[in-house]
Amino acid sequence: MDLATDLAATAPLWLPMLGCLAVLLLETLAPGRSGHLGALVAGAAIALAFARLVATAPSGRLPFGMLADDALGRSLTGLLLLVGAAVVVLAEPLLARLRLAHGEFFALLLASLSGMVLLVQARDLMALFLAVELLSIPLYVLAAFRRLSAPSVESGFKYFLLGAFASGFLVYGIALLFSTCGDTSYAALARFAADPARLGATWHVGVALLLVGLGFKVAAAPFHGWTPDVYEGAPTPVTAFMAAGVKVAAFGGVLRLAHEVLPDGAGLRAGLALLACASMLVGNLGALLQVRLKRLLAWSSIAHAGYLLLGVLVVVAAKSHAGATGAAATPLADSAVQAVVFYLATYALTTLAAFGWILDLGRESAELQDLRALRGLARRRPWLSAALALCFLSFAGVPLTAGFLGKLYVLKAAFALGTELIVPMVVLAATSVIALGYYLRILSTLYMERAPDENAPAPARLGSTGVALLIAAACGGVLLFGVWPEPLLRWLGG
Amino acid sequence: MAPQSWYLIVSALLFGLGIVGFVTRRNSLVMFMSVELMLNAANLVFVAAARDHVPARGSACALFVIAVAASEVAVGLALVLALFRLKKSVDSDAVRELRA
Repeated sequence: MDLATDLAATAPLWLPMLGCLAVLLLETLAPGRSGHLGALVAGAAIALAFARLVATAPSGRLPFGMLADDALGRSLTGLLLLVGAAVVVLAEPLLARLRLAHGEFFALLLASLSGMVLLVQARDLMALFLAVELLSIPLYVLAAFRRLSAPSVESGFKYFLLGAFASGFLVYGIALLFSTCGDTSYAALARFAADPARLGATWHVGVALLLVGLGFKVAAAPFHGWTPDVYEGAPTPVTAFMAAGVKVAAFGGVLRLAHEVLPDGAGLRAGLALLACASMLVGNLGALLQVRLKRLLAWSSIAHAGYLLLGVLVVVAAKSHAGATGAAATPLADSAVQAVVFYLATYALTTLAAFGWILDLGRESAELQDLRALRGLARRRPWLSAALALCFLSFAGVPLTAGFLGKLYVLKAAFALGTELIVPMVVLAATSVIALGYYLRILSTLYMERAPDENAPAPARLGSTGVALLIAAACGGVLLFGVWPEPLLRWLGG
Repeated sequence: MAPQSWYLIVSALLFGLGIVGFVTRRNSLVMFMSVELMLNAANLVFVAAARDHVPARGSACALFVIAVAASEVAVGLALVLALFRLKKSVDSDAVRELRA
């Protein structure tokens, strides 16, 4: 329990927080002029954290007795830091354009980022609760950052009300687990749960409430009601942060819970399968009806939560597969964890590219997000149209894109269990076909339809080199990892 | 001393009251008060359970929840205020800009 080693091992966690304080200090010293400086400090803090992460190997210790320093935590931390850096690149030009270039934006971003990192490393329910709140509370403010714009404030307000409601479920679930087990650390909970005879109603209700609370955060149906409104109203870089960052962090937390604590049982399986199937169906059917790009991505993110929940279900179910195949259960669960982490990486990459695209061409104006504004765009903006087409092909899971391999690995992990999870697997296959319907509709709008006025000038772009480079890099990643996933797999495997 | 289960029953009632309040009321301040009720139901469980287990641990958890709830209030009231300035209402039905 050496403080110095614990601090060294958790540098990626506290460096963003330190950056947050530095930005706030700068804002006090040079009020109103710290916008660009804030972005620079945020970038530097994230880069330093990433360098520390890459430079050291996981020790397998438990820093402060509450955190994990293992391969899973580290690969997700790296992913989150990259998402954070990308959001800094996206936000800086937009804030300058809206004359909102205040340092607070980046301070809040860094605070939320350190909450996300804490969430994927937490090995104690209290740390999990603190992490969820630390990531959520700054996000409520970020969503409402354009405080004179009614949609933005409405988005922050709705996110706040439902987020607070969800944390009520989360805390009550944690309290019930504490009352039955007397401890909040994952190790103690797992020891307690090893004997099924001890698990009474209090335990099961506690687990259920915990999953309801986290289900809100990952936008799983039937707890998805807030998602379309909040995604649409928030400034686009913040929406990107919510879609990519919160998804990775919250699924990281759920994944660790499923892997280390939750014992396999019929009730848990049924609950997770229900959440997964409902999310896949509701998300994809909802997306079919949308006419605006940001709302469409919100519904598609609900559907992706469903695909990811199937991966979590495989992790839980693989544990008791031991009865049939002996010691083979642990590698099965491990490979399912791997599959979910890979899916999260491809989803985050594609999401960043898609929201970067919306930011570049849509420039926060509502009418440019209407799908009809995309008619015949391919002739006038061929490169940008190709980038959006690639994103949607990857979301749909078409071969040769990273999204295809993400789905494939999750399905492969589920197949390894035989026919135990056949219902959610069939739902995944069926809803993927529905998804193809609305993704292809956008491609046909881009490439097959004609613009109402062929001679009108092409919509102007945001004109930020950083955003353009980010879209190019993310699209390059989607293509590269779609045909050659080994480097990403090796990096994520630790 | 009252047995553990009594505390659980009272806290479950509080929690249920919070959910009902959140779902049925439209005033955002009352909705947020209902959330506070849910958080305090959890605090009651923490403090009651602490007696049977390690007392310091349960109390520490309750303290954490109180601190986090306080910071949530600070941000939440600021958001309600920002909304009120734009809409002259704190009613959750008044916010209808974002629709499908």
